[in-house]
Amino acid sequence: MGHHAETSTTGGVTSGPSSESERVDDEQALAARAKRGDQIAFGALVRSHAPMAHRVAYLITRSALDADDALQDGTVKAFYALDRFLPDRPFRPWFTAIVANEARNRARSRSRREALRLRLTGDPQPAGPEEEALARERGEELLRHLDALPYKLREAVALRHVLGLSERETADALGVRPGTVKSRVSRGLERLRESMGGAWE
Amino acid sequence: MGMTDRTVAVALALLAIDYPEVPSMTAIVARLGTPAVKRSRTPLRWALAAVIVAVVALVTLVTPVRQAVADWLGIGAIRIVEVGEIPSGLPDSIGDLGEPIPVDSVTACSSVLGCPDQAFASTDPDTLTLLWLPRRGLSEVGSSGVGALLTRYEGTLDNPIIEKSVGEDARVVVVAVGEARGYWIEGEIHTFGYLDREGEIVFETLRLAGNTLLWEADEVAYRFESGLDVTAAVKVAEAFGR
Repeated sequence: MGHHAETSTTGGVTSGPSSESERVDDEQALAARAKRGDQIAFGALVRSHAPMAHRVAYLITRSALDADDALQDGTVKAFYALDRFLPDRPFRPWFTAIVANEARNRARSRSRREALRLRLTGDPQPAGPEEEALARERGEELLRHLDALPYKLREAVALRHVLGLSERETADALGVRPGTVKSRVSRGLERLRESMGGAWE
Repeated sequence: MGMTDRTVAVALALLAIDYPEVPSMTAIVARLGTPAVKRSRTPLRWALAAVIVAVVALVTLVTPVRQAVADWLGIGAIRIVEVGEIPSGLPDSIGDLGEPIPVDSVTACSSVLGCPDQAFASTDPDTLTLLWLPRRGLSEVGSSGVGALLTRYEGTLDNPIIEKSVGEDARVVVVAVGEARGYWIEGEIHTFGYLDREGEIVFETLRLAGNTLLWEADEVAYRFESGLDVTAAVKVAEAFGR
């Protein structure tokens, strides 16, 4: 599966700036415009960060449907909460945290539904057939163990290491302190090591 | 050597998760209404005229129009000068914009549009319109013979009224025009409504089959019609505020 390649009509700010500083400048300009009620600027901002926010929601809910709903409802809530957003701060953590909160609400509300699992993509690995088979086997095994972790540990490990968010961003997304993320990730990795035993040695 | 946290972390980072497709954000954003942002009541410097300059003289105007233009001068107005003859040549396709006003276009120029070619005033309703003919960087809108129209109204804009009046075939997007709120309208649109000074809804006919930007400043509404995209249109609108 892939992502929509939505065209960014940003009202003057195009996606794909040539440097990080330009990107930040663009974002701040867009954020300032969005705070003044500019839907085009807001649309450009959320389009830029929706893929990451959606992945966060998916890793939390493990449901494509719930991730879609979390992204949609989070986007609407973010729009109506723009007066509380500080435009000199990065938009992504603020937006992602709102979407993640929606995702956690959904994950909690369906706790008694059938267990959901993450899946690996069917894309071939960049390796020879044997390495590919081994990597896939190990990946699926690791994913099974990740899915089996208590949800608080699983969320922290998934956002921090599967998605590669920083400790701060993971903390913002989960609504906890960075120290809590550090602790949960440490315990999560330890549990994974224990549950997988010496399988990879 | 046993498995370490580092080994597990690297393996996790290499997981090729089958992420689902991201929903269309365009559709989500399009359904948004008006955000909970505080509207600025700061006096805006740019009423079309403050924008467009100082007055030299009012000439060749019939009394009601002269009075209307004089009223506008309170917040600034176009630079009107005495000339030998009133400009003509308004394309028939865009209808009656009011009485032609001699305009010293040199002082009413925009970096995006250049200087207007003609100006018109009307008292029913009170409007003032600047017209730019097609030129380099400003394409003709359809076959109208016109590049852009900027019209000033005595009235205010209201989002629900605009939404309802433009019809289902048009899409309204809220944009920022300086410190003001604007409405960018794309699609099939022929009329739009605004509130006059008495609070009555007035329906106006759009003249060009292009995109339209509406915005409001200090209880005065503006309409800009052209073939320009939203970025350029907002730039024009904001430029008139300086």
